[in-house]
Amino acid sequence: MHFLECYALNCGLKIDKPFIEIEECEIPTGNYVTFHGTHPFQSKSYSNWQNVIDSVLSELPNLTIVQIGNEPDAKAYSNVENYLHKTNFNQSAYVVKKSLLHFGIDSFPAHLASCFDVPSVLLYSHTYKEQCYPFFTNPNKMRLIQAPLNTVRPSYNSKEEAPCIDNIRPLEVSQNIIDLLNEVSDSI
Amino acid sequence: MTGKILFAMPKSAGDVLCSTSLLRSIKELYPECILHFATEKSFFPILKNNPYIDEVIEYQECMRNIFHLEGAGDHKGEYEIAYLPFLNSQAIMTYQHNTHSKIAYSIKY
Repeated sequence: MHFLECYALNCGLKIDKPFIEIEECEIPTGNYVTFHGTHPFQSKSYSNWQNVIDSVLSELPNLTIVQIGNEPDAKAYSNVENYLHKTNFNQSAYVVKKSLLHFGIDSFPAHLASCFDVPSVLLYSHTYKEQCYPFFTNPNKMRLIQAPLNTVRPSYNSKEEAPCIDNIRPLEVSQNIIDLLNEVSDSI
Repeated sequence: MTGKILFAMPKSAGDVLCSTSLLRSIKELYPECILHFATEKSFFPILKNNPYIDEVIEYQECMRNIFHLEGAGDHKGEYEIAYLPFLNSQAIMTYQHNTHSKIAYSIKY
């Protein structure tokens, strides 16, 4: 059960569309995708994002990858357009809405992309993907990658001794991004 | 019914955003009521100009207590209804998925 379904069931309320006010800001020219890969939770920190980025760009050299996020100690990756700490929630909504695709971890930008039905490739580690997937995204437009677990069940722990998220192969992530982009966009 | 309704979701940003999809339903059920949304101050921009919210207020620890909010016995609460999905939904969901040792009831917001 998705957490939103659980909230709705718990409150006896119906699920409608989410709402966030969009604030226009400067966005990259040309085709771009958004990326959010940093989180205070250690169990959501993937060590291989640079490999994923480089692999996608080697296949699609004209694509711009925009790294978004506002975490204080967010790691800035190479070969991306750095929007870290440059956008607030409402501007992030604008940047994500205008993008061809969003990829990264299960986080606020992932749900933002879902609000606007932006195709998404997302990694799940310490929770089941079924609980947190981008609820409002058309199922044909999302690729959800569940990390092979080191335990029988997900840890539900923000800190894992050996983060299972690193069991995901970077090539699997990059291939999903490339495949989904090719499916949803003619302009790539 | 008239009066005030509280919907509380202290964190995090994704949960606050997704929760906005439930607010229309509240307004349809209780069109005469004033809807307050309580969350941490840092998430106020997510709720800016939301057509279903009358006022965004800062979340406080006392909002974990539904009897304080809705009233009990001699105490007349401030709200007619308080929706607190963050309090037990996470625990139920975790239990359903069999992670018995990680039921999140004791998480302190």
